[in-house]
Amino acid sequence: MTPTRRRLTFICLGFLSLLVASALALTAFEDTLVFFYSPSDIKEKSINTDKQIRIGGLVKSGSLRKSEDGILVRFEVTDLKHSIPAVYRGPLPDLFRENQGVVAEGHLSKGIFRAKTILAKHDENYMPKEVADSLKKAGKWKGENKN
Amino acid sequence: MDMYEQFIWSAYGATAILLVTLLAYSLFRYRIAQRQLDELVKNNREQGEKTSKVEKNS
Amino acid sequence: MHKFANPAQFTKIASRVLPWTSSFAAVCSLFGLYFGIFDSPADYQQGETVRIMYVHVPAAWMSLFIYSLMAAASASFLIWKHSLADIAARSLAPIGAAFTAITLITGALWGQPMWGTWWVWDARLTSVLVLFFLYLGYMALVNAFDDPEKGSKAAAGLALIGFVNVPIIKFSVDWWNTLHQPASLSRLDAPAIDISMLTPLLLMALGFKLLLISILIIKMRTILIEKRIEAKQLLKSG
Repeated sequence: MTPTRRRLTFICLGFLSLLVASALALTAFEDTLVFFYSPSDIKEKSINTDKQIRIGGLVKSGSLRKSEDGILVRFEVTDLKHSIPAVYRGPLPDLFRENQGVVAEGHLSKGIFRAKTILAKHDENYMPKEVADSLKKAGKWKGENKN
Repeated sequence: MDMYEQFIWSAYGATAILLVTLLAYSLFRYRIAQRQLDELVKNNREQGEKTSKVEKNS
Repeated sequence: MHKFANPAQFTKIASRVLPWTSSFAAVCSLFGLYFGIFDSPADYQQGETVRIMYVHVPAAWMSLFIYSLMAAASASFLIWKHSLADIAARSLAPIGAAFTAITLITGALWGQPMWGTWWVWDARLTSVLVLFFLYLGYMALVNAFDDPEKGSKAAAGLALIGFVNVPIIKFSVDWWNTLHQPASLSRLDAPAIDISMLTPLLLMALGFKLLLISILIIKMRTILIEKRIEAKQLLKSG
């Protein structure tokens, strides 16, 4: 083998083994790499609920209730399979709406999630309001048949 | 524009400042290097002329 | 390929290309800015804040694209010993670091009004921060040795190892639950981005690419000149 060929094989093999190693490492650490659990994860996997955790999903449509002063909020986080009721006290991000993504940080007690912070999660669709409206009218809106 | 105007302008401003600084710094380094090289070439030529004169005289 | 890998040939081609790339970079960015700030609609959910996308997303593409170029140049330097590949990688690092910094800053400025936070440690944001430190690590390592050849080799090794991070950034939003939303443009179904918003996005992306080529040419020519100066000074003292 010429030195060039030797270096080429060495680098290719080295990179390949590095890829395999990092793939294995990432699979092993999968549970710590997720930013939040879905309601299904909470119901189906055994997750330590004493700790502070994050749950994420959509704000279930029709579930949002605000107290009269607007400080106390009740809603349900859903992944369209399971949903978990949540309560939160404090200011909400602007994008927090029904049918929008949400990530809540807090702890679960007696089946109710007590959120300390609320983050809004937005989706990958970008369009002007008129286009969104006409899509909804034409019945081509994906968010509509989700609930 | 709505209430988030300052976020938008900060984003565009930060982008512009970083990119313009990068471009200006790169051009500045290029000018300095080019000037250094020109001087070196000039000095070498002058020295070369001197040595060739010395050689002629001797 | 080997014909272009010659420094004299490179300088000749580069000086002919530079006026074109730099002027088109300015034109594309100006049109992109105009459409992005003034002549594009507000988003149905995010309102005006969506305009941050027109700098954030192209800058994020650049940060990954430049790292891939840098890794390719590093590999070709290590395997074929092309000195021009080493010069290209050295020049790419600070440009990539700048675009990654822009991605992080504009991302924070977008996250605060939309998500309600400047920063979270989710898989996407964290892996982009790692990318930024890989660029900084390359820049530190390449100048850390008295023997520049040694520095180039060590930094090229780092660039190759760090390339593992590129697919992780790209697919982090699909592999794990993240606060960051998945990619809009790689989807083939349903319109993820309306055409009126796609125009400024692609114009800015093109402007950034042309700006990259222009700055890269300037930086590579600077290093080539510095090498000539060094060679002349060695000749003089020797």
